[in-house]
Amino acid sequence: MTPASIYPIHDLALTVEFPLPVGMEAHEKVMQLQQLLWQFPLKGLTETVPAYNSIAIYLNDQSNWMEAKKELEKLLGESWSRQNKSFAKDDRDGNEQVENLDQKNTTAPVTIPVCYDVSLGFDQEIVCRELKVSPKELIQLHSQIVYTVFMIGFVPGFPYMGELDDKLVMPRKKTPLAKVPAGSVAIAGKQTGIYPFEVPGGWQIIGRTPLILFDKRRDPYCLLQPGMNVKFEPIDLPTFQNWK
Amino acid sequence: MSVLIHKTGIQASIQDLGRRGYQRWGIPIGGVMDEVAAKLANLICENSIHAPVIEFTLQGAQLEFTDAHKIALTGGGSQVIINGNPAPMNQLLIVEKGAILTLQPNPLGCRTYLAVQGGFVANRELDSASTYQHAGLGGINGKNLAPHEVLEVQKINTGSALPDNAPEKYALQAGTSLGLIGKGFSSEGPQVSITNPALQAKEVWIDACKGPEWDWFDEDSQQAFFSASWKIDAQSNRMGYRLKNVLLKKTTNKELISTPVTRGIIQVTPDGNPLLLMADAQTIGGYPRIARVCPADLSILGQCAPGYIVHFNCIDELTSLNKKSDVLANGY
Repeated sequence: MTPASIYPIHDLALTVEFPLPVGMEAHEKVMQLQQLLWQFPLKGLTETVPAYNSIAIYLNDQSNWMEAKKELEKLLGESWSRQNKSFAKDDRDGNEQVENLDQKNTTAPVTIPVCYDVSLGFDQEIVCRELKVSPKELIQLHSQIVYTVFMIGFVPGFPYMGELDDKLVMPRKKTPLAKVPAGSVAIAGKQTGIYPFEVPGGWQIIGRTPLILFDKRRDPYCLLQPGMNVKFEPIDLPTFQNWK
Repeated sequence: MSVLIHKTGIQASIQDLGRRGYQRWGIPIGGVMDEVAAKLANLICENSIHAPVIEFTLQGAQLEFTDAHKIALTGGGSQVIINGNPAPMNQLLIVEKGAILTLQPNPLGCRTYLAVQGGFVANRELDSASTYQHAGLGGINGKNLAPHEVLEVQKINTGSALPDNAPEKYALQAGTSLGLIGKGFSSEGPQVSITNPALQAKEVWIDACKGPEWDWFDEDSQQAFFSASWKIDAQSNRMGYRLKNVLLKKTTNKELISTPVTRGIIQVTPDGNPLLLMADAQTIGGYPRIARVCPADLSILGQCAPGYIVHFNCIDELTSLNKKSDVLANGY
């Protein structure tokens, strides 16, 4: 395992970053480390924020980033501090403790109903043309994969999920749409996401879910969390319109 | 007692010391932009420092108090007028029933805080009353304040004052007692002496450490960052301040994989301009981080309005940690 770099982003916050590209391997390392931090638990830990290949650790004033880094290095073994004197990332074998914790993501997928009707999936026509797939193929390729939520960010509740079928990879729009309707299901790069609120957005919109992704009156507030598995289930327009 | 909002001015919202524990869901900590002034306002009113306050941006607000009550105003960016008479900041005021408070322009500072004894009644959602409009959280309806809204005040519990050995209580120094008696209000107790460089001049010096992607920038840009007079652009708000002067250039074509960010981090956007993240900044960012502001200086920045000049002074990590962030205890 390649070692990570640990650096401050605030006096009371530090980030552990793995030198891995966006994908399942990076995600699993992030999730393993997150679990380890809460189980230990790291002194002064108030919250952890996972991202693609990094995780931020926020502390209260019982600790600070330097103290937490020392604790983290002890927790993860001697080899980390030796290899991380500078922020140089090398390829020597890293820490065994984290490796032994290797836990595959086995949570049962959350089903997200999505209506792929063209009236809701505004960008479908352009997407199909660019990718040279039929609408039927687009729907099948998008809905047949079980995705993993890598992180939530950009706006509250917006899930960054991977990984899309290679046939569906295309860039964001050059000009973002000023108002993307809440519930819009979209794709960009190797990820797929859902807009929880009406906000400007540049991802390619291919459908819409009737589900509410973020609701402050519901438990849980956020329907999707990092580490969850997600499967999209196609529903037709009448079902979408009559939902709830 | 209620507070009637006649006008909000440029912007007004209910804030407290922030919402912690939900950043993994994309919800920023948020809260007041000048923590020192906000805490002080509550302390003067003998509230918990966590009581919700109103944060006003610059001038223009107008409020009415339906009953006599104890209040305090702190911060900058406005001149406080009650029933036509100038009123002091940083001191306990007793407003009369029906008193009208207006915020007139002031060239220095940016945010004024109003605390009322007992604290404002607000929606406490996800552990905070701080207003976060994107998710409709906090405040009285999840939005910034609007004209004609009515704010209720918590009934005062006797014994809710800070315990005598609370460090914050020692920090209130006996300063000049003004004993100003004017129509609409009277004052009580000492006026707290507090200095924020942004309330004295429109040019500030801020301590900052090199950021995680400091090495991504060429030498000229690195030098420029810590020597330029950065002007806070008009396109600045609670999410972040756009800084203008020279354009900063990368030495690499590397793209940063989106990673967590927090208040105080200075990103460089693709156009080469620095963006200083503030209270309501997004939780995840994909732009390289050239530096991060020392948290003890964030309250200075909270009082910097568009047009202010900011200089960054390079400090090391240990210095940042040792610089006390509770300036009520140590002063600036």
